Parts: sequence; C-alpha cells; structure tokens
Amino acid sequence: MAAQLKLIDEVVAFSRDYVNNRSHRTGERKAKIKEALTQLTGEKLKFGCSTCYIEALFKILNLTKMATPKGYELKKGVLLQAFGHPEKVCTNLTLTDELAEWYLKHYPEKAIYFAKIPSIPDPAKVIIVPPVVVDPIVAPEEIKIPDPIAEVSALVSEDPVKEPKKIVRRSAKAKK
Amino acid sequence: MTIGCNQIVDCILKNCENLVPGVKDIAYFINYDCVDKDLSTFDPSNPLLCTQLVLKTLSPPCYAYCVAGYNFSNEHKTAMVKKTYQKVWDHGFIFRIFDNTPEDKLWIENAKDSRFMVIIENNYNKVDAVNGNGRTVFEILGYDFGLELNAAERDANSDELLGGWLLTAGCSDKLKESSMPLSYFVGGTIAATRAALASLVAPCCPTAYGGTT
Repeated sequence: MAAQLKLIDEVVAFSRDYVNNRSHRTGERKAKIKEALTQLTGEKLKFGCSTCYIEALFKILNLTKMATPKGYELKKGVLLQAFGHPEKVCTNLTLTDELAEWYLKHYPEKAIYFAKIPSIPDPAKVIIVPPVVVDPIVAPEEIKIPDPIAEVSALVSEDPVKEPKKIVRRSAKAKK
Repeated sequence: MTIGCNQIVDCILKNCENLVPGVKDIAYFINYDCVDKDLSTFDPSNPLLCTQLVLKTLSPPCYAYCVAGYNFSNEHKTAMVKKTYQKVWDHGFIFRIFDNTPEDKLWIENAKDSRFMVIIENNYNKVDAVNGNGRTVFEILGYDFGLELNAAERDANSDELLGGWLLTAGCSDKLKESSMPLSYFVGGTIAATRAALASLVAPCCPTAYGGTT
C-alpha cells in the first residue's frame, strides 16, 4: 500500500513537468503513469498516443485531488508572496495545505485572496433563499378557484329534506 | 483638489534595447464583470502598472478565455482622444478567427453583446536589470469600461482570411478609457506573471498557457 501511494505521489509530482515539457515525457514516466492508473482504477489500457498519457494523468490527478485535499483555494489571478520567503510564492495551481495555513497564520489579512477556506463555506455555493412575500390581503392558500363540477356534485348530494327545515327555522326566527 | 498632480516628474532616456513590434497570437478575454477590482492591485508609484488582476469567485466560474490567432494575425492599437476638457484613450484590438464553425459563430454572437477586458502579450520584452525583465510583455485593455465588439466581418471569398472572421474590438463610441492600456506584471518577475496568468485561464486553453487542452 505504501509503495502504491509512493508511486502515485511520484506521478503527481512530475505531472506538471510532464504536461508542459515534451522533453520530460520519458518512457520511464509513461510506464509509471500506466501503472498508477491501473492501481487507481484497475484500467489496463494500451496507450498508443502521447495525449492518452496526458488524459490518464489528469484522471489520476482528479482521482487523487492532490492539489488541495483540505479545500484551500485561491482566487483566480492571485499570486501569494511573502517578503523574505521567495520559496513561499504560489498561485492556486501550486498552493498546498501547508502553504495556505502558513499564509493564514502569518498574514491573516491575506484571507481575502482565498476563494475557499475549509472552515468557511464556499461563497459561490451559498444559496440565498429569497424571502417569501405573502400578500396580507389575499394569501395564496386562501384563493380558491371555483370548481363547477364539484359545485354541481355538491348540489346533487345535498339532503333535500334537511335544507328546507333550516330555511323554515330562519324565517321563523325572523318573524319573532 | 489635488495640487501638483499631472506634472512631469521624470526623464525618458535613450532605449538601448531593440524594440520588437507586434503582439503574440494568443490573447485572453475576460468578461468585464468577472474582474474583482477591489482585490486587483497597482504599483503604488505607478497606477499604470497592474500588479495583480483578480477574478471574482462566481458560479459559473470566471476565467480568462483564450483566442488563438495565426502567424501574427492579432493587432493592437491605442490612441489618445481629445475631448472638450479632458483627454481619454481609445484601446483597439483586431483579431482574426480562421474558422467558421457553429461554436465560433456562437462565440462571436455572445461577444457581440458583452463587454470584456483583453490581456495581450507583446513581442517586446525589455531587459531591465533594475525593475525586472518582462514589464513590457503583458498589457490589459479595457480596464475601466471593458471593450466591446465594434465590427465583425466575414468575406467568404477573402484572399487574406480565406473565409475566416475579422473582428474588431474597441472602446464605446462615447466612453473611452481614462488611461492607456495597463502593464501587467505580477510578483516582480515574468515567471510569476505567467504563473498568475496561468491561474486565470480557462481549461479550454492550450496546456502551454495553463489550460488542459
């Protein structure tokens, strides 16, 4: 298991160079990509083109999600740099958890440049529920559309004996 | 009122470097509303030097979209425009699409009704040991108002474009930019600038420019 993880880490580590520079696409690295993909997905593909290796590499990167496992993310275009620490310069593509935590610890004001901090919900995914406006005069639940069929059926089902009695009683009360 | 602004305070000495004309074939289009102006930064001593261009975190995500020309087919012009009291700047970007697919047509149709900033890459890269090499490479057009598509033309029998599209982007007729195109230089080095730019680009851009295709 440790050897597998080591191989995947190694593939992830050279992935950027592999994609960007043709000179870095050696046979040894291709074999490692092939092996890492097999370990991760169980796929055994016969690669015949150079782009297939790059596609496989992206598949590995997506599966491992190596860049920001905790979910730190910088806003696009941001380059973080700290005076006196040239090795800490990073963009979102090179950001690691350690770097993100280091910046947030030493330069908390730089939190504004983060699109995502694990403890804070993703602003892009916050769903704002619009307030439900209820008309004070006529609430939607109170609006009843008259159903002619229901009315007719109600009339048919009415007890023809009881209703006239009510009318008689009311009229008697009115006389009194 | 600020007293003492708009005065010449420096010299321009002879440039011993050879000027190289033209812009690169790849340009980056960013929807105007995507740029986070609150977080974008400028050199404190020179407001024409943008030291960080930050995009907003929105859904769907904001990107810098690539448009690739061919054999120096992109052109850029900037000119001062004299108004009644003030002087403003007209930014122009002419680019060509050597294709006519439904996707290209949709891109043009969408661009027609939008406003966008364009990042261009100049061929001229001045060697400057003091301030850092590469400050003349990238420029941002349309930072104030964004550019719009002012002309789109396709001549199916064109000898030059062979049926491709000729597109002209520029400022609005009335609203012009308050300053000339901004220089874009991040982190004091051209490598850092390219890294920052790579973090802006869309996945549909070529891998060499930070995309995945």
